[in-house]
This record gives sequence, C-alpha cells and structure tokens, in this order.
Amino acid sequence: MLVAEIKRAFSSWSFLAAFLVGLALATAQVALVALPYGLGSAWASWQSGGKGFYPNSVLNSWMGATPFSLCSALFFFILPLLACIPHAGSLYSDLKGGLAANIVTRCGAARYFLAKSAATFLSAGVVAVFPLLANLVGTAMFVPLLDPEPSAGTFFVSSSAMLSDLFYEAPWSYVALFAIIDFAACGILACSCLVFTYFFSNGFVVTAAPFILCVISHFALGGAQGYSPINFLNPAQVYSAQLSLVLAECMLLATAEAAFLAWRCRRFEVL
Amino acid sequence: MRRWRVTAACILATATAIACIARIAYVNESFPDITERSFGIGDAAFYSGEDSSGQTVVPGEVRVTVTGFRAIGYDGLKALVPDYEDSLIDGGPASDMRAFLVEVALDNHAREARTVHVRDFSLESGAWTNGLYTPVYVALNEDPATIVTLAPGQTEKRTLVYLAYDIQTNSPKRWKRLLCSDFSLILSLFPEKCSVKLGCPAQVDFDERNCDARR
Repeated sequence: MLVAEIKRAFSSWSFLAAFLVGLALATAQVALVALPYGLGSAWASWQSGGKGFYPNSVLNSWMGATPFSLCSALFFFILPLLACIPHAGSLYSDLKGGLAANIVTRCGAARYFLAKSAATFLSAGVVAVFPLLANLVGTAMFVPLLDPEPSAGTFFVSSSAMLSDLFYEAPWSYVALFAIIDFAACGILACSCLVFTYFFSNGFVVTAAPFILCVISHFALGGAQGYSPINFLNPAQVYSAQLSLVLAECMLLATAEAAFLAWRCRRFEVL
Repeated sequence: MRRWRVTAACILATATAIACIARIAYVNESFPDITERSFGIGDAAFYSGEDSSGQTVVPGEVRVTVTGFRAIGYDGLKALVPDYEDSLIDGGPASDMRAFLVEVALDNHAREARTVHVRDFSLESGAWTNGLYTPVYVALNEDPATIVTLAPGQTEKRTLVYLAYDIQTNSPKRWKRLLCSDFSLILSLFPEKCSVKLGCPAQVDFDERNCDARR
C-alpha cells in the first residue's frame, strides 16, 4: 500500500508541475544572481577581494542566502503551496471519487491513512528541498566555496538569527539542518491538507488552505513574523526566530494532524 | 526498452555529476586558500591585502598592538561622552547595550609614511560583528581622523569603539552569553584573515564573575 501510494505521488502530473516550477525558479536564480556574481565585470573587485572586500561565496549567493532576489523571494513565498500541490489534495479526490472506500475495503483504513500521510509528506519534502540543493550546486559552478565571515558584512545570517553561530562555524551543517527543517516543515504543511479535506468541500481550497494560512500569518504576526513558515523556511532568516519555538510549532502542528487523522481513521466508514 | 531507458538515465546522471564536479573544482582553483593568522593582546600584529582605499598593505610595515579591551554600559558611555545619546536605547527598541573599547597602538615600520584605515577594523564574536562607531571614536580620540597617517617610526595611540545591542541577539540568554564570550579584532579578511584574539572584555559596570557561570 505504502509503495503504491508513494509511486502514485511521485508519478503524478501535479508532482511534475510543482517540481518543475521549483526547479525553474532555482535555475533562474542562478542565471540572475550567481552568474553575475561569479562572472560579471561589475563584481570584478569583489571577485578579486580588492579594496578589503571579501569575495562572494556560494554561501551568500545561493537561493537560501539572497532573500531579496526576485526568484528566491518568490520561491520561499510560494513554497507552502508548491509543497501541497503534488499529493496533498489526493485524499479529497479519493473520498470524493470513491477510491478511498475501495482501498480501505481491501487493506484497512489505518494502512491507507498511514500510506497517504507518508506519500504526502515525502513528495512535499522532495519538491521543497530538491530545487534548493540543485540551486546550491548550480551556484557552486560560478562562485567559490569560501567560508562565511561575519565581518565581511555580505552574509545574510545575522547574530539574531537562529543557529547563526553554527552558520559561521560549520556552514555545511547549517545548510544540511535547514534542508532537514524545510523537508519536515513542508511535509507537515502538506499533511495539513489531509485535515482540511474534512473542513472544505472544494479541492482547490483544500490544497491552497495551508498556503493561505501561511500568508495570513506572514502579515498578521507582526513582531513574531519569523515564526511564519514563509520566513523560517528561508535559511537567510530575514526575521529572527528561536529554534526551540520553531521546533515546538512544527511538533504541535504534526501532533494535532496525527491526532485528527487517527480519529478520522477510526471513524472511517466505507458506506 | 525499459532497461535502455534506465541505462541512458544513469549515464546522463553520471556525466552531469562529473561535469558539475569538474566545473566546481575549476572555479575554486582560481581562488587562493584563505590562511588565518591570529595574534594576542600585546603582540605587534600585522595584516595584509588591500585597505578600503585600494592601497596594498605590505605585511609587517604597519603593526597594531592592542593594549587594552573593556566593555562599558550605557551609563558608563554617557559618563565618558556626556553629549552621547543613543536613539536605540532612549525610546528605541533596545533595552541594553555595551560599548567595547579597544586601546591600540599603531606603529609604522616602513621607510616611508603609511596610512592606517582604522575604520576597516571590526570587532567579532561568533556570529556577532560590528564596525567602528565613528561618533564616539571622534569624541574619545584627540585626532578624530579614521585614516591615521604615520611617519616612518611613528607610533600613534587610538581608542576604537564598537557598539553591541541586545536586539542583535534573539534572546536575553544569548545576549548575556555574548557579553561573556571571546572577541577578536579583525584587521583583514582576504587573502589572509588577520585578527587579534582579545578574549572576554573587562566589564566595567557588569559583574565579570558571572561570566564563568554563564559560559
């Protein structure tokens, strides 16, 4: 059941569409930002380290470090939506079309819900993280792999950002940790669509609900803006947040989703 | 048919990976490895590279000796510079601040006059960093110029000022940890990172003994 559901998630047109949108933004960011940084004559003195400048590095040129470049800003803004497109709305269509009842009759509600959640989580995580990693590699093809230096003043991670000390001490661990956070957070956000399936009677609204909530929180949280997924998913961290609170937020959401789906699973009726 | 597709995909993926690795190696080959040179308080530190005016600094010609490092609070800073007002503290978003004062002696060991751009130096501790705070630097030093011209063999003393605010950290705990952490005065970053390890500052209006417990 799990393999079939994962296969279904990863071979769907919606997965391909979301994946290609993310990859297109990642590629455009390399062309518009990393390429001029690495080869453009306007950045010549930065490239040579003249006039006391610290040369641009992959770690201040890639998508996760240039929050105000068009492609990067757009990617992180629509990331909660991209993550939900591949498979998050499939429970709604399964229930509506009667496929869910067929599958549950054969293998049980628990296995169906578990497989559905796992496939949704994995497909969302891949759609979120793969473009970032591709962009990192693409940027490294034009800009050198120099260690970040706080005194250079060109690295976006400030001392008020979460894990900022780690960024300057072990930058690749920081990137890896953010990849894990993005994978997990996008997976959890996508799984919230499974919950919204029971609250809305429109497939589009079910898929877009987490994105709409993220946008509302982005504008409504005021000083606590850093806790909106749109902000904490971005390794550049324009708005500061605390790691413990971000993890608590994700854990709370994941627990609430698991509890709700477990309850719906127990009450699932084929007819 | 399916096997051919898989084989073709594997060959394409391997070729792409090799091309990427080769390109990344090529980009990094043209950049020198950044070496690190650090000095202690009292050492005659030197640095290299270009200063912000584009002049090449010959290592050893200009030497920077740190003779003191202390931190003072807002009240201490106001006592030192009576006219000083900080808009970030007075009705601003910050509730606490420190001014880090670094006493330096600048020596010219070259046979010609040399200039030292003290505004190029910055203070650093972990992820926190700040540049020279010119308004207080001007008030504390008799010669307010941030570009110090030294005749051959001449020595000049300066007090460098760097400000830190609690809003530069994301929690009171991290702010207190920052005040008790080790600092470095960064003289140059590229192609050689030259710094003076200053350690924890002497705290004038802050209980220094608490630092050991907070580390």
